[in-house]
Amino acid sequence: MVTSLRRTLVGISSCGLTLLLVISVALSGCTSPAAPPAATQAPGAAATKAPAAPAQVSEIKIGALVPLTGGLAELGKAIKDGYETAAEIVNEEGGIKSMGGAKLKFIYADSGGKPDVGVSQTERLITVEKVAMISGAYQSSVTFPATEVAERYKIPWLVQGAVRDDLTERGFKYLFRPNYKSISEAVIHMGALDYLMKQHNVQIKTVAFIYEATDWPMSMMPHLRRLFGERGIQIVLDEGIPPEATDLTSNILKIKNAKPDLLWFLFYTPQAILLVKGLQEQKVDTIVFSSGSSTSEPSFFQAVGALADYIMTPDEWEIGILNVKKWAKPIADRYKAKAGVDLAAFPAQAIANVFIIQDVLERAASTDPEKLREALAATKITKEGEGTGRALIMPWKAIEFDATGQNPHGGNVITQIRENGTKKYIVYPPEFQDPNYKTVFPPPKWSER
Amino acid sequence: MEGFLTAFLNGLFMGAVYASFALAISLVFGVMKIINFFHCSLITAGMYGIFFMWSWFRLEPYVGVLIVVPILFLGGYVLHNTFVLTLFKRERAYVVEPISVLMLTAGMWLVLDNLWLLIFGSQFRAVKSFITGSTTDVAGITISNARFVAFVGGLALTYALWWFLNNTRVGKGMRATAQNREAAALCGVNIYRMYNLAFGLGAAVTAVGAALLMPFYYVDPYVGFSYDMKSFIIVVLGGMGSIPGTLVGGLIVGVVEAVTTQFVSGTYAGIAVFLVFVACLLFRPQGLLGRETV
Repeated sequence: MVTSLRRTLVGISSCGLTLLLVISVALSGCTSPAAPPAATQAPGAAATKAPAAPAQVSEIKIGALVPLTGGLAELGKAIKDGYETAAEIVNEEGGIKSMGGAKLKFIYADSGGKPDVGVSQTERLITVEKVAMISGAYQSSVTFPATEVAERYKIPWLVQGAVRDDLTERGFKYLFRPNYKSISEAVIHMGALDYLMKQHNVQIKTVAFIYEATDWPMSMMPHLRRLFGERGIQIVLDEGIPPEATDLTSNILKIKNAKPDLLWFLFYTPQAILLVKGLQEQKVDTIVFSSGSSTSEPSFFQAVGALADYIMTPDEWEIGILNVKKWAKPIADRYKAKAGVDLAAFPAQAIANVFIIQDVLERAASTDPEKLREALAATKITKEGEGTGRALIMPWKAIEFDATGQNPHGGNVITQIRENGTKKYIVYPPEFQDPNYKTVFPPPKWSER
Repeated sequence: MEGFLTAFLNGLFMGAVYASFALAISLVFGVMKIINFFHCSLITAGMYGIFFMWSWFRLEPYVGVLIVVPILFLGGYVLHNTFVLTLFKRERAYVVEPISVLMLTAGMWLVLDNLWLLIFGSQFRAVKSFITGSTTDVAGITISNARFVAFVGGLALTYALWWFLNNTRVGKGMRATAQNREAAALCGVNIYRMYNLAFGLGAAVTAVGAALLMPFYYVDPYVGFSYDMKSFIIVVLGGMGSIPGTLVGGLIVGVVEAVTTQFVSGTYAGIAVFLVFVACLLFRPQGLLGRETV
């Protein structure tokens, strides 16, 4: 009797465990990027027929999909301030001259950081606000399904922020991305490594990879392995970590034993925190490169502070770029006056997008989506600084779009973290390098810090 | 070899932390025969408590715990008395196994976790304690001081709970309730009070675990979940309701995790713990230190 009760209890507990698993799977399903919505729903008459453009307009409505509430609200506001700053500049200078000085008017839609909300807000921008084109939406997970709506309505979309590779690999005709794909990040990062090895006369023979074994790192790893293989650098450790891992010490010990010249990590913020803390605890002395956004998150620096020093990290834009692009200083100042904080990567790209939009409108001289699409496809901004050349406030060599709508000249900068995790100095590419900063490569040993 | 030994020691240290979180599950299961799914929310609450004691009042985690423990005890007591016990009493009139209580705790887990998200935001926070990052080198092995303290603390916590259950009047009441509700009630034990106390005590023990973990960890609204997952494995492994078994289970999980990682990739090491768990369920379903008869 008692035994059978005990068995029942074991049974219940294992049922419970199953329940827990089921719920957790359901939860993770909710947070992962939503699958693109089925495009079966008939969008109505407006879908197939674009709104006719009036001959002369005093105002051109541009939609901007931004996460203004939720976890990304702070960043969303910065991006909005970026659009506003640049739109004000364009309007003050006389608006779109080819359209009789029509003014830019940005209509903001709040995605809340959620794919489904992003989709419905895109519908609203197109059918209710009747915007000429849309820019957005920072997150790949929102941009992916939202651009599908715009494609259906044949409204041009200029990507802001989102780096997911396959965004521009779906054969869309109304989608244009001036910023780089995530895969280019690996290539640029390797360029930085080559450059630093040469500059500092350091020969890297071995590399260790540690990454979360999920979507983004796993899609980047084959490229990294190939790039290192091409250089004859031996991979001494290739360590994937399950996302629910609670402790990385054992993995860090493996790194320590492998004694790599270079450690490359691809983590989201929580595991990046554990890794950096563990490297210090176990005194693993090596050059550290990071990929992804963890080393751009303020909470990462708050959590690890000085331990983040000397890590090499990619950034879309850094304030140090102004040392080279001096002409952009007034724009950055104006942004600061508006937003109250220094210009940063994603508002900077919002600014760039406004100047691209200005360029496109000047050439299209119309708000007809077809003409806008043609003008976008023919974009060629190569000279920085003047007029629409101010779009090159970003570290991009030029702006033009290939057949997929991707700008092949998109790029970023590699920075080294210093001063207790409070400052980032640009170390690559050389043209943006901080002239007063001497890159520390390799970093000092933990025992000497 | 040194790497292996360091990994083994670190596994032991982490195992003690896992055990301190699993104690509450074991206690609540032992006494009430229900599984508390919102245990992970309590772990997170404990960690936030420790963090804010440090962030607001600059109290070291090992000091802040003195304030967080009573708060969590009260929180656990009240939550249980208000929600769980109400349903438990109603349910008991109809069936032997309170299934809907199980569902209730799962629901409360979702409510509480989202409440933490609402209150604290999604960013990651960490304590910079005096002990954070400090290490000791012994014969070529680098030991993190905070982890060592967590190990000693975990052992002490387990012993303290075991002593409490065996030597105090309330503890004996809890054990009596665990062994036979009806008989305990007949002997004058207020079993519902025991349930409340056991639940509060579980939450308090969790707060101690949180204080041991925080100096070398971070907190975000979902941090408790992965620890909760391990807690269930540990409790079944060690023997449900057995306090020393929970410690043994925790240490085994910690060591298996750490040592297998030295031989295979991290993703495979994640499987190893579950293999041990499945093997245990198949061959010794009552757990390593669980008794066949209660």
